[in-house]
Amino acid sequence: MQYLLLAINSVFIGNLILSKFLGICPFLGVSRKVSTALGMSMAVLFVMTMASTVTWVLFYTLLEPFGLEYLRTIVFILVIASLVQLTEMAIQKISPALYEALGIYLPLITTNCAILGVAIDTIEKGYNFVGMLVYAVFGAIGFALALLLFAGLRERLETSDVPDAFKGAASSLIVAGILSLAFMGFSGLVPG
Amino acid sequence: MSEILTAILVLTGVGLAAGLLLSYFSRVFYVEEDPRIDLVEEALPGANCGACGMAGCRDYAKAVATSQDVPGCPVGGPETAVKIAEIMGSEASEVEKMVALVKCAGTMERTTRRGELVGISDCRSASLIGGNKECRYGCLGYGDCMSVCPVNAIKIYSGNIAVVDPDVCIGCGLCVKACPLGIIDMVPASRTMHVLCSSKDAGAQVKKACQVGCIGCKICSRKDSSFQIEDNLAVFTGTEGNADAPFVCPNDVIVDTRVYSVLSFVESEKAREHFTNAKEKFKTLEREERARIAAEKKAALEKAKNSEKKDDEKIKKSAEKQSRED
Repeated sequence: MQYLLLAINSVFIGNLILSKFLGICPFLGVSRKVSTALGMSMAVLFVMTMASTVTWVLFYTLLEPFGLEYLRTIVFILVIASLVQLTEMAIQKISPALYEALGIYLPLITTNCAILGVAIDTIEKGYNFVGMLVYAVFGAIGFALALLLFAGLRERLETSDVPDAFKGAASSLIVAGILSLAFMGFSGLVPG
Repeated sequence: MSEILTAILVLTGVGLAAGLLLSYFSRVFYVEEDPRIDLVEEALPGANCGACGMAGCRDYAKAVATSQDVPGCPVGGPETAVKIAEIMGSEASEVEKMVALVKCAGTMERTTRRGELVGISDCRSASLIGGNKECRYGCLGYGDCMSVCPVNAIKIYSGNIAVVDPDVCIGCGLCVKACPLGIIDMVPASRTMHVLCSSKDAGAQVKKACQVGCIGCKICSRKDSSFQIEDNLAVFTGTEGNADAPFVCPNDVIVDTRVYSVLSFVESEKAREHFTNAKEKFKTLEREERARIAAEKKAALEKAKNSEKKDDEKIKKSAEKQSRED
């Protein structure tokens, strides 16, 4: 039950993009088409789960025993960057098809703040291993949900008759704001 | 002290471990790629400008190596095409190197202005309210093109006109897209003559707005048929134009880059003076030539008249002779 609540919480209430405002860059950058948004979402799901797992283990086995909690951010960045590199190489060797599908998105999310945000958040909130996994996976699903919703909206906007002044980025930002407002409505869904 | 030491050690350790792991696995997970991809990539200019339509030089190299039908690299020009052909073992398709050209010579002194623009710092905004020059096709000089140029080939000089240095330009075409007025064109690097004007307005209107505007008078096309006039604007489409063509232009819009660089023709007073002198000389020569031809014609005409007279006399004489014999 506790994990179910956590899952709902991280998809809807504490949505990474729409209520924590993490990962805005890919949210605006790769949401032009639903297909690219899907590719990006899959890459994020993959990397977020892996990165959170590794950083969680590293934090409790290396940083905490030495009392180096304050090195968290820099160590996590280092680990995530090399991890993404490593995964990229591994995927290229093991599954060229997947490599083609993820393509440019994999290296792009090396610097995605949502990844680092989730890794740090799990430590901050003191989740155990399973809690961390649930948080990371459903955080990524929430990211995917927001990205796909937004991409679908933008595809429609492309073909609709928008006043000149609102064309392109302007209307996209307004839509993002309204979407965020809508997600704010979920707060209070889960007590605590 | 020991705290600092452990911090340093741990961080170095993590970094080192990550680095070693990466270098080890880069060998384990090494994927064999077509070695020609690397070779082709090396032969490319490596500017990753995207002028070919690919995301970068690497993608282009991949497309070439998998023998896809791709256009030649517009930046590298024929040299790169030859190199790539050597690597791929095929014929090079001819690619002409292109460079950007700002088609306007209307510096502040040579143009009429509609007013002063205050508080505007880019061409895009300026173009929305029509710019400050009477001419709608006049370079605004805020340098939108300059800021997108990846190799700093474009500069704005004292005359507030953007000028492209053709030796530095790599032909990526980004400035063409950036210019809100659309007065930058890609032209073959080998072309030596340009019409430095983009105005499609009628002649009278151009004359009012600018001292160096093309009025579409078509005189240049009589000197050299490579000048094509469309919408009141002449465009040179050949490679090497008739050296006299710049002199017949009534508004001095045509530059011959074998004599003057575009920059000096737009900016330098000295070059302009030199040009005016040369034009004067050409005009006098032409006048003398015309006078000479006229004189020759006159002489020939008189000669013809004289000979006619003689002929007439001959005929008369022979007629008389005949009548006498009769």
